[in-house]
Amino acid sequence: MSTLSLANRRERSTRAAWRERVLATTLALTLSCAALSKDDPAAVSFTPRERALILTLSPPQPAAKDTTNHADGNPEAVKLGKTLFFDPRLSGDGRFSCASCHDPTRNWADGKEVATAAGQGTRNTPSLWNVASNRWFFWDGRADSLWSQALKPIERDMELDGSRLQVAHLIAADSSLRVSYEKLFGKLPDLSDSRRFPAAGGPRASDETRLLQWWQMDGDDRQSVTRVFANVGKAIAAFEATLVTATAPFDRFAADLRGGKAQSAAIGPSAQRGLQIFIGRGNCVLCHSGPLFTNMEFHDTRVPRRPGTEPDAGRLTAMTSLAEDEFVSPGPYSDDPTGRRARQLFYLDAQAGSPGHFKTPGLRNVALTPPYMHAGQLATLRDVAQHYNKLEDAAPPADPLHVEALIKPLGLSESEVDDLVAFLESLTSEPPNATK
Amino acid sequence: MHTLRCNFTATIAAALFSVAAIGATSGPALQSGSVTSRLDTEGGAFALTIKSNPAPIPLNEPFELTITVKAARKIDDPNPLWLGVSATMPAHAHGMNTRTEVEPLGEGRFLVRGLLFHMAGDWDVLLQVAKGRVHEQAHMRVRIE
Repeated sequence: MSTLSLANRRERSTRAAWRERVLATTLALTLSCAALSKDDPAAVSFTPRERALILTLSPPQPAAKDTTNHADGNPEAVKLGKTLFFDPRLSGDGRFSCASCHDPTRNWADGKEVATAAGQGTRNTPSLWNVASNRWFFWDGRADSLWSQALKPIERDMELDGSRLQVAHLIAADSSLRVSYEKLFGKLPDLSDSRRFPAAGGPRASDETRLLQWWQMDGDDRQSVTRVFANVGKAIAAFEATLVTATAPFDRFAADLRGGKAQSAAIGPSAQRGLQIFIGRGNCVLCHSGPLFTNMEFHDTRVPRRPGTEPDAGRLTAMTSLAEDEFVSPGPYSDDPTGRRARQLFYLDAQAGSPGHFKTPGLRNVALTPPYMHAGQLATLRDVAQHYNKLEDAAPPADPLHVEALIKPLGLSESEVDDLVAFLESLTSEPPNATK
Repeated sequence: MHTLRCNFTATIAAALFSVAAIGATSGPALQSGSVTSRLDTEGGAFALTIKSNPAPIPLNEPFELTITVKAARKIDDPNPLWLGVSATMPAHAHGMNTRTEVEPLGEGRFLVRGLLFHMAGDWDVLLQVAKGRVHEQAHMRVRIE
């Protein structure tokens, strides 16, 4: 073997060893980078457009004062409303109050698929967090103010099954309630004549006796009782308007970005990746927009129907309810019949009320209020994410003429679904608000 | 009566009607003001000047348009000038959940109320103008981000 060939062999050997070292080093670096990118928030980078979009989602703003309710924001009304909210004497048989379904220990919901009180409901009890910020109320939006919403369960047969006459008598008979009421709303009508003012009755009573008692009353007497009933709703609404979520980890993350930080560890890397999906290819933010994560409007998201149930008309029937409702914002019991909320109803397009459309729920504290969707069809946030991800059991569009074109399988991986859930969990208040 | 045709699409630059959402829902970014855009109807019979209030158009909040309509040539017809306004999201196959109210202010000016773009994306605003037998329309594309 020549010296030259030996030298060549040594050189080749040295090169091979060097290549191996470089490969090993590169592999080690790649692995360590991969490990870093899994756990290091710095690995999630947001484009300027994404950062701008994130800032639109925080912080939440206080709800605008409801000018249709002159008691809104009044501490005395809040106190009276809270008492009434928890008072089972509002119900027909004295067993149920607003809190029976909107349980403060369950984040003002009930944890059930559908509500159960005097009867079996057909829809999931929505949480009351941030409820005053809504544009429309109930899953189908059949009330246009919070005080109007608060009245309807009291007289509905499957909820409290009470009546407005009974409620007016309760206020008149309980000296504490009466004093608070008259301080806020003026003197109660004299209800002492039981022939003029029977013990129970209302236009939506579930039995003929109470219906008959109501419609046999003088028109002016009916109106004065209805005025008391409306004021009860306004007091309850004043209390419900205080149920506001606190700062969440996501808000601290957004505040860091707003403050000019390039990165933030306020939420973990998985939640940050989930946020990127939420505002990006998940299309979630198109409906869950703004600091409360809702556009407050109505969509058919093709959620599977609960087994054994009939189709729910949703927003469609709400249009009729709104047209017939005496407690709407432009109505005789409103404190601002020409204001913003009244105009909102004036401009509502009845043709937009499609069957099977339900309100986009807000997402703050959403991780605390399972099950999900308008009839509690999906048990966990992961189930919700997988519904939109795969549409495997999706119902057909409820209205073939009004199909939400955005509802398509997202094609997320299992870990991306986990990331989306992690982001939704970062919207939970720290610590969860206590009952005020 | 003329058949209404859709052969004119005006894409309004982002700097004009633009980009409402960013900042609009999270703070004091919503400012009252007006931004002007101009476009002609499909047959050129009418010129439209459009201002929004507030400007830029906010995401998921009511807004108004003030629209001035001028006929390019004299139209001998005693009927008053008429304007209709509606909006849809072509990519989503739906429109607004509100209906518009158009109030004539005189001298070809109209105030349009009841507008609310509840989702981000591209909105197609249909502007229909009529004066007697002359009916024309224009489309205005508005991007809400």
